[in-house]
Amino acid sequence: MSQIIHIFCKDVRHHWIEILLCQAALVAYCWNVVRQWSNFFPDALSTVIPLVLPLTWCFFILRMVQDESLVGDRQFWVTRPYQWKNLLAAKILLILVFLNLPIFVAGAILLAKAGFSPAPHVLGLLWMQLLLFALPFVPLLALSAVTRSVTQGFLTLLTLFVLMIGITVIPLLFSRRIAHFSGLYGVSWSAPTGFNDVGDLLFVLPCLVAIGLQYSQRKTAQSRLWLVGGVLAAVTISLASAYAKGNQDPYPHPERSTIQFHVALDPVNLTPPKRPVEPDESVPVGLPLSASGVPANSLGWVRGIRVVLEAPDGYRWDGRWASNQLLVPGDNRWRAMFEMDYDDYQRLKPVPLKARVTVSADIFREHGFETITTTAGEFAVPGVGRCRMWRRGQGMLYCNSPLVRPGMVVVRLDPASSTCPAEDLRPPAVPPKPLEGLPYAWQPARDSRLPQGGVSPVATSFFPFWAFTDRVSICPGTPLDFTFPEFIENVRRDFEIDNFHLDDYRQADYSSEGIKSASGIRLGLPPLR
Amino acid sequence: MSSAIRFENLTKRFRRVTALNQLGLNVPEGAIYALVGPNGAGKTTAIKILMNIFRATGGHAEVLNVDSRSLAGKALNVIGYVSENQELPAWMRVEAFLDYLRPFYPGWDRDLEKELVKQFDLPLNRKLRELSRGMRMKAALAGSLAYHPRLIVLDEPFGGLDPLVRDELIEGMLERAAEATVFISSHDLAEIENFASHVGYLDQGSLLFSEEMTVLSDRFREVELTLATPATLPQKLPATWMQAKASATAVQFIESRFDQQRTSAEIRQVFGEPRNIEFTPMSLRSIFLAMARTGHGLEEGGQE
Repeated sequence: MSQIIHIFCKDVRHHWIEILLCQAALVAYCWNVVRQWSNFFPDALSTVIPLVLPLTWCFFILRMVQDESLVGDRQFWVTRPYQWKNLLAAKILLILVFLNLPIFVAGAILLAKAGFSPAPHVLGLLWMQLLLFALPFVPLLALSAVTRSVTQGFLTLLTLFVLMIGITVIPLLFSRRIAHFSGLYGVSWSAPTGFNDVGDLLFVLPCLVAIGLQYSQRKTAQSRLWLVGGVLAAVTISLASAYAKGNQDPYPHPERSTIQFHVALDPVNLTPPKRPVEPDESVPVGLPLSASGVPANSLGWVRGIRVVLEAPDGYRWDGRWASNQLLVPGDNRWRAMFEMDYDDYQRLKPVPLKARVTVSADIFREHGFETITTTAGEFAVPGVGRCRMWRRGQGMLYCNSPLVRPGMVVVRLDPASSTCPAEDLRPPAVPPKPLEGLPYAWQPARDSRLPQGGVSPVATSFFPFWAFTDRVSICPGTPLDFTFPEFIENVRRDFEIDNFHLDDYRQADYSSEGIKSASGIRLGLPPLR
Repeated sequence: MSSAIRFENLTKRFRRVTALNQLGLNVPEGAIYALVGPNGAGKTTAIKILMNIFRATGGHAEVLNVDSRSLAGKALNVIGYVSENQELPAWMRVEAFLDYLRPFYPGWDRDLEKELVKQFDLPLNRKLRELSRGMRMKAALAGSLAYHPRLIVLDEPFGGLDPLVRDELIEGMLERAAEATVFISSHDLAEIENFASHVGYLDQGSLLFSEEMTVLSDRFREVELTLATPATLPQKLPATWMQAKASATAVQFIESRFDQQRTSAEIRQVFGEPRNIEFTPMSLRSIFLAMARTGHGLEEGGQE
């Protein structure tokens, strides 16, 4: 233990500048996080600061590990009575004390700043530190252990960065699960994020092996091989997984479905744009759909829509899974958007097609009603966290939650209850379109109840109201109705459209007018009873 | 006498280059053993295998009865190692360097440390990176002697140093040599000739010989003969004669296994009764030059 402390103290004396840099970058990061709670628009600082923080981590870890460099044969320390376990423990202690601990404290401060007591969230904060330690600190430690200099380390990191961009982009070629902006807010970005869980594990495990091997035996070549193998395995798994996901059915038929949910092509008058499609332009296509069967006091979250087009000559175009939509009780009409490559469009346009459409939705029952009256500042929303209005008189709410975003949340706003003064309600440039029901905002269900790794334990959710462009206004005193829908069951419907003429469904752009009722009036949510 | 260092068939290859070829060597405890040889002979490689910095391709090395492959941690408490190209923590001041090393060694002697600092005239407040090469070597040596090591391993410690600093280092080292075995590598024969008790000659990864200095000096002689009549060198000469040449009535050679009676008898057998024989002792440098020029590989005791 004394040797650990001895090496630790030496490193603190030597690397106090790097340690200070890390702490300064962390303070700047936290300042930026707090600043962004009230100013979402990115500026130069908010772009730079989040990049600087990991760079200071890299610099610190590379420098302090390479103080007792494990690569080479000239280091004085290799012929001194260092115990390798003590040396490694000292380096880990440095990471824990000067990276994890300050981030833990910063997390607690951010929670307190956001209005949450840190005490009930200590376990969550520790979990975040564990994730942060596993990724990126362990890989950085491994990289530092197999590189000779800071320059070599940073060049390797740059190479890995380029590789990661590559593996983030390449899977998109296989999986086009990018949720197109379909007019509703709350759309989630579902593109693969690079490494999946298995990929993460396959990346961290070889890092641990490389660290152990390098510290115990200084076998640099073998350690590097482990790391390269880990990266290759992670890349392979990531690509294979993305490819498999792109080809498998992510929303299989539920075993049993009690809800009579129906979806069909909406027989509306089609008015494709007159402007011809330019070569190499991607072509927006909108399929008007009509859904019914969402029970009263319930909501449907359309998680995926898949459109497959088949030409008479057997040519097949697969739009993969796209879209993200909230359905309300009653007859819902909306336009499911997808895009086609110019070449596919030109090939399929002239011929009558068969369209196979699949819609998968989760049905939620509205639950846990809570009416909250907004205030000029921050106000608490049980089950969500602490919320604020996004500028006075505008229709967006943003809420901070401790550790994780809340589950599915729906917020209704009755314009009749708006407390906005007349001077705030300037006449809109475009007259509002008729709306049946109440404007609403929503947030889809979260994927995990566990916090993600990262620095800030404050998760921010945005609630832009459905009629955002129509200037639904919130002012201090405006009541908002929150519900926390509970999942009931998953439904899926498949249907086919014969004699489908692609050109009829071409759209000018990706904008959507939102869901409508059978009468063509846009649908809001029914008031709570 | 037991061995402080033992190499057995030690081989090291770097890809296609054989740096050490079946090296066998014993360094008795208490010896000051100089491993000499030209640059690139494999001296540093042998030492790095000994210190567990490199792994041997074949054979094995033992240091203080410990397999060199497991030489780490506490086993290094009794070994001092100084190398000419060692990377010291340049950012440390000399005092901090010694302070840092101290807790690693249970046998660290503060009085000895102070003595060494004084003897080497070390500037405690200066950073290692600010020191001259000679001063850095002194600091490294002080940090390797202050714990009374049983074995001191020095890899080309005097290379590029001015004579004054070299003498100071040698003096400092010799003062501790009584309680330790010293294993030193050098390509400069003159610098080890005065203090080494044993010497080994390494060339192109092979050990040409290894023996005590006194034995080596005793068994090499420059021989000059004056014959009664002009003679030519016969085809077959005794194997221990090196660099033999004849000019009229004068014959010169180097006897690598000198024994006055035996050598004289061999001379008579080859040339008959000479008019005059002169046996001249040789310097270490002359011996090695002769060895290098001849390419002789004599085992200990002078056996070819």
